[in-house]
Formats: sequence, C-alpha cells, structure tokens
Amino acid sequence: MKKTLLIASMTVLTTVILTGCKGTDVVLQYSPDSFQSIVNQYPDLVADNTMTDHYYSLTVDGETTLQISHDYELTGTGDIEIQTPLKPFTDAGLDPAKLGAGYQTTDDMLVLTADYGNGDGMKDTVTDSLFESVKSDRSMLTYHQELDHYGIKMTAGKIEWAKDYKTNDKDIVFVIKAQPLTDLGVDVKNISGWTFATVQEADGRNVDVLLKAYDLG
Amino acid sequence: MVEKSYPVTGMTCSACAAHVQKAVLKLDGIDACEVNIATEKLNVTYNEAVQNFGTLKKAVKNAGYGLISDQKTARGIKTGDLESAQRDHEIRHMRIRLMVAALFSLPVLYIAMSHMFPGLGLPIPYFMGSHDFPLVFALVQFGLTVPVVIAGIRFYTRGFKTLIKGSPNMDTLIAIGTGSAFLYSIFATVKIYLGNFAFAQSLYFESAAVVITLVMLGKYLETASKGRTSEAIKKLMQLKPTTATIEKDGIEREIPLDEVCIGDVVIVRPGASFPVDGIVVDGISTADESMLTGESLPVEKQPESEVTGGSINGEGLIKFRATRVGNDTALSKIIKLVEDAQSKKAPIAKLADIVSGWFVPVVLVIALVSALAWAAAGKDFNFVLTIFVSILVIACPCALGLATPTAIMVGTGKGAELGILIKSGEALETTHKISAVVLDKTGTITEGKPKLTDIRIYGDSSETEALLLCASAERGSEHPIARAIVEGAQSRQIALVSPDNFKAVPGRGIDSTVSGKRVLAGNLKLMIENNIDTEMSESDAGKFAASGRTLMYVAIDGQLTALMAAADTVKHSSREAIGKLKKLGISVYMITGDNKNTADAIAKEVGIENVLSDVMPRDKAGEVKRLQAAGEKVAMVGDGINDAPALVQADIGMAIGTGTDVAVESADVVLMRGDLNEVPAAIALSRATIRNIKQNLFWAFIFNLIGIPFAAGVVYLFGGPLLSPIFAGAAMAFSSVSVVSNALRLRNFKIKQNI
Repeated sequence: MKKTLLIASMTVLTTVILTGCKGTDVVLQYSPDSFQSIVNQYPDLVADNTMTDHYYSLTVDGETTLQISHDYELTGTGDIEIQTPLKPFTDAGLDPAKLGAGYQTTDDMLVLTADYGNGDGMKDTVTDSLFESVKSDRSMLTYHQELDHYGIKMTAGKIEWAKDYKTNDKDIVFVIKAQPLTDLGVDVKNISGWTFATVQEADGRNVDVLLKAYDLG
Repeated sequence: MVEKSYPVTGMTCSACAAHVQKAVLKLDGIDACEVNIATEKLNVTYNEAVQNFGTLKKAVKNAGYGLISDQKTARGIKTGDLESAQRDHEIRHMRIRLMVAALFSLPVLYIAMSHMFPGLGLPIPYFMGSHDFPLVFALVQFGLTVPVVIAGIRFYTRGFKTLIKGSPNMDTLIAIGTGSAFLYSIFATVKIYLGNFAFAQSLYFESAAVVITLVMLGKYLETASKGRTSEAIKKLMQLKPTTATIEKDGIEREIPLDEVCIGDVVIVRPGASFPVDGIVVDGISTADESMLTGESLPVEKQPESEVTGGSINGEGLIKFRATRVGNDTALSKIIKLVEDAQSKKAPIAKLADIVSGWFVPVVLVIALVSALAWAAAGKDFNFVLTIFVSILVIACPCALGLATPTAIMVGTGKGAELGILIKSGEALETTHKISAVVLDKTGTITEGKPKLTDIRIYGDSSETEALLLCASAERGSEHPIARAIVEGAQSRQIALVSPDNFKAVPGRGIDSTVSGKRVLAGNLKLMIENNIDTEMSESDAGKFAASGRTLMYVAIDGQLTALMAAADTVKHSSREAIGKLKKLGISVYMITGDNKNTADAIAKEVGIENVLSDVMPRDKAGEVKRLQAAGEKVAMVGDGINDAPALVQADIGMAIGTGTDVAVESADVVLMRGDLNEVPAAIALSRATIRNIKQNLFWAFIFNLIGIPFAAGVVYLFGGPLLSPIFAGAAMAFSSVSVVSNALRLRNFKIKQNI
C-alpha cells in the first residue's frame, strides 16, 4: 500500500514538473515552423519592406494585408496590423470617428492594430518578427483544434494560419471581432468581402466574427 | 482422504472460482473440490499421502490466487475471527485504494469534461487548456490516471495472468478494456508531443480512470455487503465465551474454553453464557436458547437438565458437568453445518457458474467482432475503441456470479437464526419445490411420549388407591405406558412405594405384589389368562380404543379395579403448522405404524386427511417412494432412528432437532426447536430464497442483455445514443451492488409475511 502511494505521489510530482517545463508547450514549439512553411511555400505572399517602414507585409489578394514589425520597439501600438479597405465597412454603417482602441483608419483603409511591448530588438525574418508578439505574453498565441489553426490575438481581431496548409482549405484567415462593430451600428452581416460567422472559442464561448479566409492550394 | 476448507484470496467473480477449482482438480489425489465465490472458500477432499496444504497452495498460487492455511485456526484463533480480521483488513485496503482512485479520477473527469463539453464553461487553469496546451492537457491527465491504474493494479495482474492461462475472468475484461483506453491515450499523448494536436480529442484517460474507480467502488460495496451475508455465522460464533469457570477440589478457576474437559464441573453465573454442553448438577435457573433454537421463551434448568453451550443463563447460578466440549458441542456442530451449507453450491449456482465461465470469452469475441465491424464500416479509431472498451466493461459477469451464492448465504444464515439448519444449497433449492410433506406421527406430530389420559374405577377402590398400587407396581418397567402411569401418579402427588415383588409377563404386562396386594396390570390377554372378569369395562374400552388410546387393565387381588387409558398427545403447534402447510398448497400426509382407528383419531385432531397407517418402520421409505412415483416432490419429517431410511429416500429429509442423532445425520434440514411450525417456515424460506436468486439472475442478465447491444452500437445504428465506457462502468458497478443488496433483503424474511 505504501508502495502504491509512493508511486502515485512520484507520478504526480513528475507530472507537475513536466507541465511546468517549456518543452511541453508544443503549440509554441510547432507554430513558428508551420507559419514558416507557408512563407517558404509561397514566398510571393510576403514583401520585406523593413528597410522603408519596418514592416514585413503579407497579403494574398492585395487588398487585405498583414503588417508585421521587425522591431517592436520602433512600431509602438502597431507591432502587428491588419489593413483592409475601409469602404465596405462605411457602406455597412461604420462611422470611423467612433472606433475605439485597436482600430485606426486612413482615408481608405481600416487598420486593426496591436501592441505587444518593445520586443527583443530587430528580427531578421517575418516568422521571428511575428512570434515576437508571444514572447512577453504566451496567451496571445492560440490553437484552434476544430479548424486546425494557429492564431495570434490582436486587440480587435486575430490572424490565423493553417497548421498544415496542405490539408487545410483555410490557410490564411483574417479575423475581425464583430461585436464592437455591431455596437457601433454596423450591419456586420453585409460587409462586402467579409464573411460573418459565429465561432466557438476554446473556452466554449460563442463569438461573432468577420472572416476573410484564403485557400492557398 | 481428508476434507478441508481453506479461505482463498484474490477471487473477484465466479470465473475466478471456476479457475481455482480447475487448478486444484488437475492435481493428483483430489477426490472432490468446490470453490464458493460468496464464502471465498475452497472445500477440498484429498489424499493426504499425495497432497498437502503446500501443494494445494502452489497450485492456487500458479492460478493467480492465494490460499490461507488453517494453522492459525489450529493455534486457537477462531476461524470466524481470522476471516473477519482478514475481511476487515481487505476492506480497509480496498477503501484506501478506492480513495486514491477517486481522489485522482475526479480531477481527470473534470478536466476531460471541460474538454468534451466546452459549452458547460467549466473553468480549468489556462496552462492546461486542451487547445492551447494540448500536451500539458494530456500529461496532466496521464499523471492523474497513473495513480488510479496503480490503485487498481490487481485488475491487471490477475486479469492478464488468467488470460495467459486461458481462463479469462472479469478482471481480464476490466484489464483489457481500461488497458486499451489507457495505452491508446499514451499513444495519443506521444502523437501530441510529435505535433499532432488533434489527438487531444482522442484521450481516454478519464474513461480508464473512472471505469477503474467505479469497478473498485462496486467491488468495495460488494465486499462490505458480502461480510454482512455471513452475519448469522458470526452471531453464532459470538455466543461462545472465550473462558470458562470450573470447580476443582472446591476451588473455582477460570480457564480458556479450549481447556475445558469432559467431566469438569463448570460454574455459570446469572447472565453468563454456558461455555460447553453438559448436564446440570446443582442450581435452578432458566436458559435463553433463542440463538440456537429460535425458541424465544426461556427454558427451565434444574439438576439433570441438559444445557447447551452458547445459551445464556437466567437468574440462578448453575453448576453443570461438561459432557461435550470443543468441536463436539451442539453450537460447534451447528456452526459447521451452516458453514458447510453455505459452501456447498446449489444446482442453480452451478448453472450460473457454467454460464459465467463461458461469458468472458464470449464477451471478448463480441467486443472484438463489434469493433472490427465498425472499423470495416468506416468508423474512426476513436469510435471503434469506445465500442470495444464499453462492451468489455459493461459485460463483466460479476453480478451473475454473485446472484446465487449471496442469496444462499443469507438464506441459510437466516434459517439458522430461526432454528432451521439447512445442510446445503441443494437442499435449500429442492425445498422450494416440495409438493407433499409426510409427517411421522410419533414425536413429530405428537410429543412422542404417552400420557395418562383417563381412569375408570370398577368396584370399591378409589382412583388414588388404584393409581398408587398400579404405579408402584410399574415403577421398574421401561414400557412407555408404564412410564405414563408412573408420571400420572407423580403428577397427582401420590407417594409411590416399592413393590414386594415384580414379574414382567412378555407381551402381556406385569404381575406384582404391592403392600401385600397382588397387582396385575396389562392388556386384555393378561386379564383373560388370569380369569379376570372384564365385562363391566367393555363399553369404556370400546370408547377409548375408538379414540386412539392404549388401554391398561388393572386387577387387584383378582378383581378388575381400573381401566387406565394412555395416549400420545398432540404437540400444541401441530394443527397450526399443518394448516400453514396446506395454505402453502402442500399435500400433508401422516405416516404411522398405528392401526387405522388410532391414526385417524390423531389425523382428525390435527386436520390431516391423508393417513398412511399400519406402516411398518421398514416400509416408510417405500411409502415415500410411492408418493414420488406419483409425481410428488416429497419432504419427510421425522425424528426417530426408524425414520432415517425415509428421510434419505425423500427429496428432502427434515429431522426434528430434538430427535435422534441418526435422524439428524440423515436429514437435509434440521428443525432445532422440534416445533412443526418450522416445516412451513423452512419451505417458505426456501421459496423466498429461490425467488431472490431468480430476481438476482434476472437483474444480472438484464444488465448484460440491454447493456451489450447498447455498448456494441446497435442502438446507435438506429439513431440512438452510443454508450460511453464511463456509463458502462457505472452500470456494471451498479449491477453487482444491486444483486448483493437484493440478497441482503432476505435478512428481513418474516415467516408470517410469507405464509
């Protein structure tokens, strides 16, 4: 009986130690490779503009773009941005002046911004730059089992990519939270180029989102 | 050959019992062997020259179980104490293991539930979320499940051992079922570690942990309840004091019970238990023998009265001489009888054992075939595994194996409490089928001792004078009628005198001289041969004979002085008992060597219509056989040596416990109180027990009959739900507990409610 209790205690102790080990964070471990494999497979999607404006730029359709800072210390509140045409949103009733934190607008673009702190300095690759976002806060990185997507949270949205682009039909997904826009009187179900959906989060909550997904093939 | 009974450890179901039995029977020199799952005992008859305890233990150990020696018993520890201590020890360990299992299973279940039902919003720490930290999620469950598996390691050691030996049991099903879930979950964890996070949805740690815990819970409740099924034996054992006070050379000494010898004078103070059997030499008191005979009224004790070990002394101090000690006392014999009965299997139990012996391999095949069929139908591995595990878990036949022996244990134990000793499970089972009861007249329906009932005086003598002279003359006679007359005189406070001379006239009576008067006492032939005129008594004689009385003519100095009639009186309970038997739908017969007139008179008095009179002792068995040939299931109730052949011939022989040892030995059921009411009580108890067994078997089977198709996905095929292994485990545990609980209901058996 004592042996049983001893083995049981040892197992629990080992497990506690193991769970605290960084090596058990397989999502953090595998997700950079997953993003890098997309970049490797489709190099044309990414433009290195770091010499001019500090950002790597990723776009599939040329309209909606993911901007990733190569040095978070230099980019302030816009370490990662999703830039998309403003017109479909204003057509649906958005008043840009009413937008709060996490949003910016230019004359023709709606910009979702995110600030992840100052980072570790300048990064040489788009993947390293993207993952600077999770260094100070691991909870910014997500994995969605049903869609088999990794994601990085932003204040007003999210950027997701397929864990395995070869098998997934939604390889890059831009996500905008719908509720804040609904609260501003936007008709979120009728925004051209964006799909309204209700999705379940990992914690079981249902949330309304606007999605723009791309199948890279 | 020697017959021994050893406790077996590690058995969990009837398949285990069958396996142990098979292992022992394979040995040379084994004459008979039976293993009872309810008593957890091996009863074996073997040739001591060929086998010994060591070889038996080795065979049982090789089969995967343990055998406990009777050495401790020989050293003076009571068998019941030893078993009780072992059971308590086992229950304590089971409780600790169960607590460990429950303590770790609950968090596993909680974590898995949060994953399976995200909509419930069950909060779990962020760092073990199934989405963002799938490996931590899996490792935490693994870490919590390992202690559960260790706590239930016996399922695996026994289950796989018996599987390897070709005799799979319920442990095998649990071991394969939960083992598959556990190993597959470890495989899934490795896959997660290698980057395949989808396997976070294919973890079955919670199934393995919860099923093990539930089965352990079921086993724990079952073991705890099984302890209560042998309470009757425990109660009997507790009647024995551990010491006795004896008087030697005028000095009182307290000695251990085992040291009391035959002939010792034992002192029992008011309220104390009689330690052994004996005969009172001094003191007047009463004894409470209710635990031994079921008789609730105290029995008076005075010099020459018999006392029984285990009964409780009333208000007076009693000194008695020990006549039976150790294992020869009535209490020890009763305990042995009940233990034997509980360890012998009823035919219905043997059938259940055969069924459950086949059950495990059949279930293994069903589980495998179902899983393969679903796999062939294109279902993913998770679905197939769920089917496989659920079938194995829900189909455990432990309830099936427990259904009969637990009910028989409680039934025979209850019988012992009521003063009805049923010698075997088979006897208990057969008793419920009895359609006809044959009652021996003398000593069974009647007291078996004639009493003086009537005196008619002819001439000038007074009744007192006639009785004084006749009883004094008969003092030396052993004839039952003579003794009835002597007792009749004594009960009338007549002081008898010694006869001047005494001569027995064979087949006639006596010829004696008392106080100078010639006294002839005997039958009519004695009177005729001595030219005594009996004409004046003819009318009385005719009347007495018609009412079944036995006559004694008394002539004093050549003149018929009195006609005395004696009769065997009916027991006060006979008429009521016969009424109860009829109420139970049983044909009642009275069998006697008496002539038709006498027999009919007694039969009429007690309400029996079927009379078998003028039956010679040697022909009683033939009469029973004749009834059997007519299709009746016959119970013979008797008390005398001459009843033994009929008791053996009958389907059930019931001996009145106050009768001879031969009758008790020949009988299947012993009625301790000598009260005929115990006959309908025994039949009602048997019927209640068999009804209970049938209910148990029904529940045990119904769980499997409904559960297996559910688990195999048959209901799912038609749009119904799929049974989760967790619910399968819960259902299985519930079935075992419900069967034992139902058997325990027999402890509340009340004769009045059942007749």
